[in-house]
Amino acid sequence: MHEYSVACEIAALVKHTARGARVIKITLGVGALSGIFTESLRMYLELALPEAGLDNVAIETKDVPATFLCSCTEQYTSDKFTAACPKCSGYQRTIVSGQDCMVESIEVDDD
Amino acid sequence: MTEKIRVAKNAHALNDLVAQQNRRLFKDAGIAVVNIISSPGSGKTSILEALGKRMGHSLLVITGDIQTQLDKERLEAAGALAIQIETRGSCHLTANMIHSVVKHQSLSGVKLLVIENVGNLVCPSSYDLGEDDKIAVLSVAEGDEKPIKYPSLFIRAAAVIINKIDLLPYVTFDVSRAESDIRKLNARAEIFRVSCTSGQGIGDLASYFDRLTSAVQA
Repeated sequence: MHEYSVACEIAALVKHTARGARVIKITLGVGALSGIFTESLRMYLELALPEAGLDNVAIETKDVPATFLCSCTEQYTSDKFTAACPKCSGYQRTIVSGQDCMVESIEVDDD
Repeated sequence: MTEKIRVAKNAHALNDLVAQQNRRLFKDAGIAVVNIISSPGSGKTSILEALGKRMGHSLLVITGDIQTQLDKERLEAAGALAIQIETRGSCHLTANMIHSVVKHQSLSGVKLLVIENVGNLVCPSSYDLGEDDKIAVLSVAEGDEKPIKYPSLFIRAAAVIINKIDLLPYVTFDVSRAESDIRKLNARAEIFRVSCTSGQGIGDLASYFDRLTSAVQA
């Protein structure tokens, strides 16, 4: 359900970026804490891309690990929101990356 | 010839553009804006009714539901200004939905805008609507493990309201466990214990919103 909304947003963003050129491939970076189930997103993209007039687009997805920065300066990765700092065992940390679902690049045919 | 174009944009990039427009509009109007998110039935509207009784028309609520105008009617009866968005099935509000109703609304005299999101502990937390802060509500009838099971909201919330604490004698909800889990997810969140039935904690919550509006107008 949620992934369909995200797929429609991605299709609109890709269409906007391509400015009329034929899109051959899109590459997505799916953060471990993005709340996106990759297989579900792929399935909905196969609906949402043609709905936006983008047919036969190859979809590549990359898993992006979540990176945390602790107040003790330790930087660490985890796929859990609740991961404590491995160095100081504390929770005074910020999430540096891994919360987003990114459109990294698109490939277009200029002809 | 094929060409690779680097995009490096969040999937929500188009939503985020509109959210920034909303943020500018709210800043120009000098109002504080919060996006209040919870599962259905946690008591968001009851909390806002209590706030509306204190704030009157200086409180504007944009309230989202799948259907009905019931929340708008309740909030107006409590004294607040209210706009209802019926999403007709969509499980979250988007920046566009907010933009489309705000542009028709006079913000004169409004100090605080509360966007009461569609009742849903998952999707709404990933959409920026142009708010200053997200606020989570959790009622004790839902269970103390909800923050750890549904972390995406609690990790982003500036404040967490634990509601319906008058029901604590009747439910197995360990407040200290819930608060400890919230702290593990989000060490900075302010936590409020509230009952809209008894009125307990409402004063502290009203003071929190006063601080938000004062900070914007300072």
